[in-house]
Amino acid sequence: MQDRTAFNRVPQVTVDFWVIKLMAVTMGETAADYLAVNMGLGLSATSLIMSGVLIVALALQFAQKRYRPWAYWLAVVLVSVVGTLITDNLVDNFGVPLMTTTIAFTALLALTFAVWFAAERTLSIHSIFTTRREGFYWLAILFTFALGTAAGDLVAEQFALGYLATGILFGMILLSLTIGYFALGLDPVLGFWLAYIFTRPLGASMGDLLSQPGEFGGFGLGTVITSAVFLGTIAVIVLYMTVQQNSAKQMQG
Amino acid sequence: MKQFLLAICLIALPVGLFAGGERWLFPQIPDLAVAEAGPSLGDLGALMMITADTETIALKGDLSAAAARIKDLETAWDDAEMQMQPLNPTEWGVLDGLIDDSLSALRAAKPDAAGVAKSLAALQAELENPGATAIAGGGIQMVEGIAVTDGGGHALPCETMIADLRAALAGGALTDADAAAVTALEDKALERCNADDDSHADAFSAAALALVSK
Repeated sequence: MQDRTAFNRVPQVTVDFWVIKLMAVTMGETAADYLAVNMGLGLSATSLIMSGVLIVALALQFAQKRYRPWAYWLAVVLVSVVGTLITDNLVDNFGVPLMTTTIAFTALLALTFAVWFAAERTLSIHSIFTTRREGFYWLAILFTFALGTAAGDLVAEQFALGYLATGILFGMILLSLTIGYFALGLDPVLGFWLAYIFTRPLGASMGDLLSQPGEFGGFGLGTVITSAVFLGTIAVIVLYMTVQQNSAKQMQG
Repeated sequence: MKQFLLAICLIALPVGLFAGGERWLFPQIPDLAVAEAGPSLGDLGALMMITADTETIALKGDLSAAAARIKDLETAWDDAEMQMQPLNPTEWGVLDGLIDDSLSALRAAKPDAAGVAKSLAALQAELENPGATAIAGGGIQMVEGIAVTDGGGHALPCETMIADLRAALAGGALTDADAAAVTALEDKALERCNADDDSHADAFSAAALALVSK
């Protein structure tokens, strides 16, 4: 391992990265729904609380000054929650059409990348060394979640597809992007961010497919069991990543 | 620029394939939004709710309570006959037959749970059928006399309706039987709301609200 990669503040993009990212998405959405609906806190109060928790998590992540799996993935789960809540708030509280939010978040994401590139002359996700670059990275992640939520809900609402059909659609897009990356020379940074957007609706439809009752097209595991399974798997992978990281460091030192 | 074109192709290709294959692979899931087009018998929301309610009760195994509940469906159906039947006599006849099936299944001397479930499911499916459920020109849709959409025919945010329901529950006293039914409906509404399925969630909330304000 090169010396500088040890101080990159975000993880290498590997298979376990995408597995855990997918599950973090589902966990995030379920947690947001649970707080807003089951506990009756309402969308506005939930958004305020979760934004506060997100700020704490991001402060922890920024304070690490390097990649630590627990801090990074905690921040991702919470960005997922807040990104989803932003879209839900705009649609349910302010009556903004999903088409408008989809276009607006696409524009905001493009603007983030434009400013990022103008300031740093690179969009590389393999060289997040400084706090400013890390700021751009997390801002882009927040917008990909908001955009992924809006685009996914738009598809679900416009075409009234079932959970399985939606999952297959977004799975096919991700497969195509993967082939593009490995076989057709798709730019790694562009491919990464596109995959980051499309894993949001894929994760949400997978979670719904597992948790929702049969009469509405799911497998009927229920949200509690589904969330527990996902949370457990996330914890195991994060633990594995931490152990792996530590042993890599020992080999190095 | 080449990269963006490549990315667009990589996204468009699977979307195209999916759109081509989707019609054959996945039968349409009945949905209130889909149901808004086409000819109409008027508002069947109330009938759908009573049917869903009866299904819920029957699923719990209490077939005599289910038989009592479906009496409301029979009454509502008979009351609406004069008005509904001329609108679409064919569709009306189909539904009338299915309602008769459900009634006789529940009123049999020894009702059979599987037969009851089957006839109720068939009835509900037909009620949700696009040809039968249309509300001409959008407008506010009602379930049990409670608005579940805005003026444009869009489902109200399910969070709002659940909040209304909780406010109503805080104010009113209920009989034990009603309280149980309301709790069951509230759970269903929550579950649908969590799945971002506002139209079904609102239908359950409205049914619960109707019980509370009865």
